Amino acid sequence: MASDTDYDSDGMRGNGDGGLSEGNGRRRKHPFMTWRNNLRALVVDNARTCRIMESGLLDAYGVEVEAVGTGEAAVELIASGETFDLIVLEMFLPFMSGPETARTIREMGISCKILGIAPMYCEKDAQEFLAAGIDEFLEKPFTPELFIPFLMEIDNQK
Amino acid sequence: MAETDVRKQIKDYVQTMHEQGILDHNFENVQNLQGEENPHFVLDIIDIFCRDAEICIEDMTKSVDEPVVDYAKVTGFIHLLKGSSSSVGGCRIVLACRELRKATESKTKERCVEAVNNIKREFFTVRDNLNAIAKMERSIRTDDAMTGIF
Repeated sequence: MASDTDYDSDGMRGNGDGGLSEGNGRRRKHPFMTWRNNLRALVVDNARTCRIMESGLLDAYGVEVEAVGTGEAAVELIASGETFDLIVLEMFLPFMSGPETARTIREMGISCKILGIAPMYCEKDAQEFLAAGIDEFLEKPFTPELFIPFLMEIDNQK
Repeated sequence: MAETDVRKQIKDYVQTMHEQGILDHNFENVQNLQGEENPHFVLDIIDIFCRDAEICIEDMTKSVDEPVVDYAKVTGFIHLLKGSSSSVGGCRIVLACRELRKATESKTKERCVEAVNNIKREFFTVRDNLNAIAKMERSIRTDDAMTGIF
């Protein structure tokens, strides 16, 4: 059974606030890939299973991960001074949407790669999200085949 | 039963689910995340997914049963369920969610009700099969615990 120390305890029903950063920032001992640089990612997804899988996969591939369930928590984390090389941002967040979150993050002067993700692809949603400041729009599930090329690009540019 | 035997059972079972179209290759990502540092990952994700999906489907059902359906609200539930299901390889639930999405776009209550019932059927199938995997995983954990005792 998942313990609260391993995963967050909020369910999908309810306030969906996901609290502040849930990531533990720990590094896997034997990642599937290693990088020249330390890579840090922020996962912002209100769907618990998705958030755990997205964080878990990035962690497995050698990325230090923080994960939150709301746009507000993501903005608060960044405003506190935390820096990331990659932000994985769900489009359909409750309250502060994915596009609003992206816009706010960009207005804060954050220029790191932001990957927008959504459960289903829609041209209109993609355009809206890209206009808000994300770099790429991807349909879930968030898999290694999708994110490894971006990690390689980020690692090469650092 | 030796762990290697149970692992083979699980592998064969997952293969059968692939062949039946109940799970797709994304379930392998769940399995790949289980290891020394996360020895219970598969069990934990199955538990979390099934619990959250049941709540979501319950909320979805209540929404489409309302006299006046809030289609935006239903769409929100679709997003949650489709995303979660795709992350664990629940491809048939994903397809059923797409059908419900089309039903919400047509704003037809009867179509939505039928689509939600279809989602339930697909979820029950996936859930039962995931629980079978969980049972096999648990048997390995029990054997490990017993080995520790003796």
